[in-house]
Amino acid sequence: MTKVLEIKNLTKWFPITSGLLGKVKGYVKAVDGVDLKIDQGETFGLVGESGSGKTTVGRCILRLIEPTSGEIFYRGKEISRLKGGAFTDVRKKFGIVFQDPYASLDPRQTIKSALIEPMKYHKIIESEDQAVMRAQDLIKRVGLNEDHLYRFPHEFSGGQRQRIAVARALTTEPDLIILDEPTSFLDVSVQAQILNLLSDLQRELNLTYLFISHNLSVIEHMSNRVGVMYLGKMMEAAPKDVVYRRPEHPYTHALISALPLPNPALARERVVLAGDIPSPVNMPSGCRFRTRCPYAKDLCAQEDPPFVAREPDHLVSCHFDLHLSAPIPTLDASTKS
Amino acid sequence: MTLNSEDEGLLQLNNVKLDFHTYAGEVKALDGVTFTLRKGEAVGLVGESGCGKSVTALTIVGLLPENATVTEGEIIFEGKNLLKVTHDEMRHIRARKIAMVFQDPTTFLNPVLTIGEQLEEVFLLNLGSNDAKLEAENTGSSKLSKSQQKKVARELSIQVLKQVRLPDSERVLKQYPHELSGGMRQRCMIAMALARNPDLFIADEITTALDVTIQAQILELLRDLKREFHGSTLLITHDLGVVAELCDRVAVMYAGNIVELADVKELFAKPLHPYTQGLMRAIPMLDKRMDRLETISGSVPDLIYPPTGCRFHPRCPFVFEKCKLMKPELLNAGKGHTVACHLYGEGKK
Amino acid sequence: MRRSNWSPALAELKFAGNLLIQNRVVLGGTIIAIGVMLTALLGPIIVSPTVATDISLPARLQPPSAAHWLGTDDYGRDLLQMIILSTRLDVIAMLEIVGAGLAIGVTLGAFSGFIGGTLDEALMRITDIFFSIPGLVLALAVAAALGRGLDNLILAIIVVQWPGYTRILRGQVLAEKERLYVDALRALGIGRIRIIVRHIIPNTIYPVLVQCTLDLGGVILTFAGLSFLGFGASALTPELGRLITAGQNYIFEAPWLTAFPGLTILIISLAFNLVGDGIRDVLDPRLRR
Repeated sequence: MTKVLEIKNLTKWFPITSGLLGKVKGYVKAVDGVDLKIDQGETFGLVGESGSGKTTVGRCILRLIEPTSGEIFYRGKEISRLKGGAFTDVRKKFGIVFQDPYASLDPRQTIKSALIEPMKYHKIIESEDQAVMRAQDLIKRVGLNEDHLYRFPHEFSGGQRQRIAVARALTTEPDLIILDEPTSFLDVSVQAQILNLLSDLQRELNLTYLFISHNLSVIEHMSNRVGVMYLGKMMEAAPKDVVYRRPEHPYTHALISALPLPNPALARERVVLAGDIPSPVNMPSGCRFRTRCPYAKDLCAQEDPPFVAREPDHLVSCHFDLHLSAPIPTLDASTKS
Repeated sequence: MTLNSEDEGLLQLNNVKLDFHTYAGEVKALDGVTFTLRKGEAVGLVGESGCGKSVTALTIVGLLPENATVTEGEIIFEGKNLLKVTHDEMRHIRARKIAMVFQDPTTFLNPVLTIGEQLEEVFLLNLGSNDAKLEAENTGSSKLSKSQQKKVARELSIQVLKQVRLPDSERVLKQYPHELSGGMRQRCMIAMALARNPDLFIADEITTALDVTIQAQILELLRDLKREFHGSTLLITHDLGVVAELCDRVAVMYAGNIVELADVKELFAKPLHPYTQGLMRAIPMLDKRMDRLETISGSVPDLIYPPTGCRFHPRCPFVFEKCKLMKPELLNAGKGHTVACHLYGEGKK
Repeated sequence: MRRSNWSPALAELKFAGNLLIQNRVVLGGTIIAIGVMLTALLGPIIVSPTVATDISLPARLQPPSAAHWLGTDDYGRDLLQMIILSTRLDVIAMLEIVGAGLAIGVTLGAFSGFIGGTLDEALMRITDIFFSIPGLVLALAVAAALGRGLDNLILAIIVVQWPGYTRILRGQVLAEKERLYVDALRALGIGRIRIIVRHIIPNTIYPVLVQCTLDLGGVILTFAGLSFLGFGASALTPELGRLITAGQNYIFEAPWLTAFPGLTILIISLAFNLVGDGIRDVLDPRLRR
């Protein structure tokens, strides 16, 4: 399996300055050492709550934010330090769909103009006619019509704008698409349409996805492998079924257990974590999850556990082998086709 | 819907219709909303954006914007029609009888007052009322002095913060809203609502803006409070999971109408309305593996020019002629399950 | 479902137009402003430019009469015809000044605001220096330094105008560059220059345009005022300020020589001020998105 993307020890620290001269007082450690790899054609679900740093990881890959340290490999080539033109070439291989369908399009640009712009700027297609034809093809692929090309963003609903965003991401013929909470602002029925569209496109075009979301049901549906982030670090990464049915990190366990399931028959005693998510400015010493972990011991305050593989393709960042129960017991019992 | 003396209706909405006047036209936001909320029960009002669930709640408490007009119907609460009471009466009801909590605690809590000041304000308002507990503390004199009132209010504030499981409640009293986290602010809002000891508690999307683990804390709290709280709750949300956790009965709304109303277990086991069915199939569920999610074709209608007859008919997989002509009434499908769909009408079962 | 087919720009213009018509005073100002523009446009056609050099000393300093509606000046030229000719010059100067100030201000403000860093800091300090000197004084100083002449005067006032536009636009750009669609464009690999020119500027220029219309009235006042003081146009050139300069020597014998040109300047300035006010009232709340 070809590795499309690999990230090693990525960090992003935002300095906090104070005073007239801007002295650095401390850092917001938004991303604090993340490892991740995605194979061709698969969907990696990156899940976490607020402050987890998952969105920042996406932005660092695209260099919308400059990483503080770490390495990012695209098909084996290190890209986090490329400059200017060299990186622009790599950018063409990535696409991104943002969370807010209302803000991600220039309100004064027609859809046709928005789709053609990247093609002509990168000289992928030089002739105007050919570019228009490609735009027509893309707009139909995402489920809209040709005459939608001549309209403005405000004339479309949220779901339609996300379709347009997907079409735009495809204009540079990318390999890897980063989906940053693409359905969070959409209603359930519209979300279903967009998720189906994404699945279909993945199959047709052999795309690879990095799917970032806080919605555990959506992640479970869309992903092949899942990574759980907390306060800037990856706590656990494994194939989906492992994460959802036999997680080994207590945070993962609590997260899955917390999910309110739309089925009263599955009502259960859930693990409820005490306390609030700590501020990323004042990270707890040692393991950052220890302040809310029901199993924390002294070692946890002294040493930050390394992110290592317990079994092939199951990495966990915890000192102990906790043998946790299934987070949703009834899930194990029910049959999955 | 008639009530019998056993299941007394605390709140009854009868055919409430509401329009918004906008630059673009009349938005017919509510199209005859009818349901009853009984004493002590928790009813969930679910639907997607634009279905009218929040509008319904705002109509009940009388907090509609200026361009809204109720064109028909009545809202009976404890014998009075809330649509016809005076401003003062409505204020009194909002102060004592109906408490509403919103999605965003930052807009609800006054940023320049401490939590303590805001809670005490609520209690001080109520100290003039016939509260048996206060009468007992009150040794004979008919009125408490100002300072005594403040003391009692403070004690009650600490108590209610403990009730919502806020640790270190004495310290929280002195803090400002911005010093607290989202989950804690939400608890304070719930505390302020409960402080009034209301008969009806309306919660509008109160867990939507919270992180999953914090949401779990609030849901747990609400589940515990449900046991302790003897009033009724109207829970508005788009999240079917939350409804499954907390509600006794569920009403599903679409485009300004209630399309289905049933006991929670019944609704999830046997959804009758095609919209409810579509909704449930569109949600990715952990216990069912689906390659593709089922979608409801089309999109939410424009309420300035709503579809004729049943507002769902353009998207309904089972549509037939009658659906385009006549709006279906809420029909009884047995076991307290009502549904507004011609599929279940006479001769069509 | 009904959908509007207008571009956002067109819709805004139509909305603005509608509201402009509703306010009587603004409407009045707009009509006068249009009249002024027409006069400027058609001036040389209605009145032959040779009138300026058509000196007829026997006819000098005559009061308003049937033959000369506004009287004659000290060179015997018909005052009404002189005023019509002068309007053209003043209006063109006004437009040139504001136009050039706008072009410079928008370019500098957009690039500086978007790119930031030391370039931005330096530019802001420069504009600070310009702001610390009162406009009229600065214009005077620059005009004196550059020497006499119409073009030099126009240049001098442009120097005073551009910093304001730069600041306004920069402020808008600082906010706009944080918008999500800018990130989307960067993610697509679109270069900064294109983003600034094709996306940022069109989305941020409205407040500056509003300011421009507000400035028109003031600029023409400054221009005519400095001309009156002796900068700019030479003695025989048909220009409103110069007419007053000439007229001040005969202020008791022939008051119409100062009154009518002065009144014209007042009317033009007031008309454009009203239009600017109207546009600002209409557009500003909608611009603060």
